[in-house]
Amino acid sequence: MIGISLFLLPEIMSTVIDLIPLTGFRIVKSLLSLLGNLRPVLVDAISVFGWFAIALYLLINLMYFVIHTVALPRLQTEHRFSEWNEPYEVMNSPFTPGVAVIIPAYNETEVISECVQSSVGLEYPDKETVVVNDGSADGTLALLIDEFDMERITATCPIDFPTEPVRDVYKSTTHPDLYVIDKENGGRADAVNSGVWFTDQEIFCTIDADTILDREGLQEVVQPFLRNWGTVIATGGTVRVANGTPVNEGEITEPQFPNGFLPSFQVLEYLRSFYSGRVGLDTLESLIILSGAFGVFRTDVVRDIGGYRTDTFTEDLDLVIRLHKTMIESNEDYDIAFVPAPVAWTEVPEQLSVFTSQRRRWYNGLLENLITHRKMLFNPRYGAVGLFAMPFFLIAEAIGPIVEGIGYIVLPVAVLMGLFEPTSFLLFITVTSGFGIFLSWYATYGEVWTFRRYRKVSQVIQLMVLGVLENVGYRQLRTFIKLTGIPQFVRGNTEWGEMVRKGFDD
Amino acid sequence: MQIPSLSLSPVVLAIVSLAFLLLLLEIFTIGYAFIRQVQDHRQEEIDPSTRERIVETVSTEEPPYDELVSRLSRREHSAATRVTRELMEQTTGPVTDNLRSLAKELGMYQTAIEKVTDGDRIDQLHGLTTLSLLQHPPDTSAVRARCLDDPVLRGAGANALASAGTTDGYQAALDILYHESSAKLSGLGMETVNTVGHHKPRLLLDVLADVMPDATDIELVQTLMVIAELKLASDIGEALPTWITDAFSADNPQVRVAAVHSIEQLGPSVSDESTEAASNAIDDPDPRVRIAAAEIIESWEYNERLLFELVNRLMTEPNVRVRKRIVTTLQHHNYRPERSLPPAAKDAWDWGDAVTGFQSKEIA
Repeated sequence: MIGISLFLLPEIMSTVIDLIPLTGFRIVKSLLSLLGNLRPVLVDAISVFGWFAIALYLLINLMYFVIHTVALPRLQTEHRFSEWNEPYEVMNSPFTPGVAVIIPAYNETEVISECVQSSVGLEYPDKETVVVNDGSADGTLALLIDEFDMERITATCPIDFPTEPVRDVYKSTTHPDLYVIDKENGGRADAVNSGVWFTDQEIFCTIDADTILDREGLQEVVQPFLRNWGTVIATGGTVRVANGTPVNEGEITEPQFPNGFLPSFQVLEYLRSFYSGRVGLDTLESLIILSGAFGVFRTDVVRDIGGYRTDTFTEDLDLVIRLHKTMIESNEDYDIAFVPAPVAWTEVPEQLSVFTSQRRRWYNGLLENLITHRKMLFNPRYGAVGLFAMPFFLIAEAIGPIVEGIGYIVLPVAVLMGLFEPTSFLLFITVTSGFGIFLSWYATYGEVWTFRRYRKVSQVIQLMVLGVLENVGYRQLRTFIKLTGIPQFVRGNTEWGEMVRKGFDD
Repeated sequence: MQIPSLSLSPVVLAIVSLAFLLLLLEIFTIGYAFIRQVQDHRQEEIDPSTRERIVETVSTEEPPYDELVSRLSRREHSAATRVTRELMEQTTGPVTDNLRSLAKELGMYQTAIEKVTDGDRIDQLHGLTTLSLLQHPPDTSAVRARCLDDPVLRGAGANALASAGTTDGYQAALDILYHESSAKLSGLGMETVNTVGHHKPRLLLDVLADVMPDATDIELVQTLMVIAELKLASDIGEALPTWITDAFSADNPQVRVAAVHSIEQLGPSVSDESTEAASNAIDDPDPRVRIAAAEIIESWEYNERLLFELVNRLMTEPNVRVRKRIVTTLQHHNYRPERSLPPAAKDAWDWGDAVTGFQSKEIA
């Protein structure tokens, strides 16, 4: 792109100089004549862009293909492994580590009750639930106090929280292992940090307030800590879409599809992202994302690196990258694992405005993290993380949408100007969409072949139809949202945007 | 420069291939989903009645169950295998012995042995677990030959060997777990060491005396954690094993933490070494070791000397988590410091008081 700009510079400069004494009609006329003069330059520029886009497309899809290909057999292995019950009662074992379930909550009256109910009902021998009320302006705290018979602990908590001030700590009189930390608003990362500093448990699990865990989900996601004792520092489970699925006493038994295209597309997207993306990246030892909605970490290790960063859009991504960086730089033997069996069900945005701000935050967070941790990019010192994971996210997830977005504008223009054959253009679009459908169906096949949470044939057909339809509109929408969010990123806007909750279905 | 233009025929070929691949994937996925749904349906039909038959038979009749097994259709046989396995995992007592007999008559032992000898890693885990449930261990040589690759597999192999409850089985299990290729134990491995220590404490202590001097730090930590769960006071005698006393002065603080925990069940009465070790741990440079010291002193009987030392530590303790833990221990023993506490320690004390007040409410 720099090459093109330099190439065009003399023409542009002379035009700008010519424009100064001109007005009205003469300006339009000059611009048209400039376009005419620029035609050969445009042809070259579009040609360069075309080849660049095709090369990038091939590279990105090759990487996706590798990730998806290694994911499927691994997913099958993990499925078989998940069906193995160890011949002892994990629930009664003294060696099962204690876990704190940390739930940050900001204005969550619609969902917090079911979420906490789900957490206190989890089957796990040694756990505590720490809800962090992050300065909610609605009745979240009052609801928790009322629903779970919370009482304020009359003394000041002696812990020196590295967060916004903690006002009070509450403890439930009906659920002895349930605490609520009431603090001033500081954002999600700040809220989780207060829970991390509060707890004395060996490991902690973060779940979002709009998330419900499988009853045995915590036990399953903690298994790597037991099986690969002393080496595992973080694990993450699968996140699926809860919209449209009935929740009964904090539990999900029979998943249903949501109404409406926007959440339905996200069902497929989450499936692809977790069962193909995360599993594949984990197999390639390149896992740098554990979802904030369901991640488990060793408390001491996270405290040692200063907890979550509060000045980033995507603190979860940043934390995992920093964990990799710290452990590699200190030559420690460590493992960060993805466990596909346990599931956290989360509410996804149904409104376009909420969806837009969420996706912008994710994309801008990725850009920010790639810039922050740029020293790890293509750096062999960081092994697969530096040589594959970070470059993959840079090329496929950061640059890919920009080129795709420009392509949506440039290629039709090129066709209109006669610079690109319409047949070739249509073939290119068809192949691109076809490969997209292939990846979605591949992930659907993974679901059918292994964990089968969507058991009905009708649901599988629905997933496959969505895999086709998402290429017409939804894919372009995501690209448009990412591109239009870049100015926000350049301005350094770190606003989260409001997440409107609808609440779980009864 | 040429405008990128895709020549038609190879591209059309590519598209046709992709479309064909997609069609195949679609047919295969939907077809497979349909077959699985039918299988689910059949299983839902057959499992409850099979379960009922099995529960009734094993509760009312003694083995052999050849009559029941011979009357099962192929599909019922698979259901019976599935159900019997589930029941073995869930039940205890004489009924479980009957279930084991039924399982063997259903061919589960043979299948498990085949999985261990011919299967992949996950088959081996399934096979070994079935053998543990059947309490019918495989041949030690088979476990040695196939199950030493990783800690989980080693743990499952050792558990199967120990499942018969014989001294030879326990010895073989420990040999597998602390094999020269071993660097650490899995959770299942730790459980197995715990089982051996529970039934044959002397055997465990003798084996550990041999292997622990050469153990890795992580293996040492794990073994010390198991020792912390065992009541070994009468087997240890008057002096702590050397490998435990050495662990108190290890460079790695995690080893020192585990060493402190390992004397929790022994109590201060077993030997002066325990009291000395706890006393030294109170002033250890690593806060995790100091916390461990406070924890074991809480679980021990009232010990004036150690509690006094804890108060001294509380006065100057820089780490808030250690202060909190010391306060919990002191309050547990109703030991109130005679001196006034510095502000940081006072905060920890007040917090402890408030939380203890809560616990009384919960009990009430």
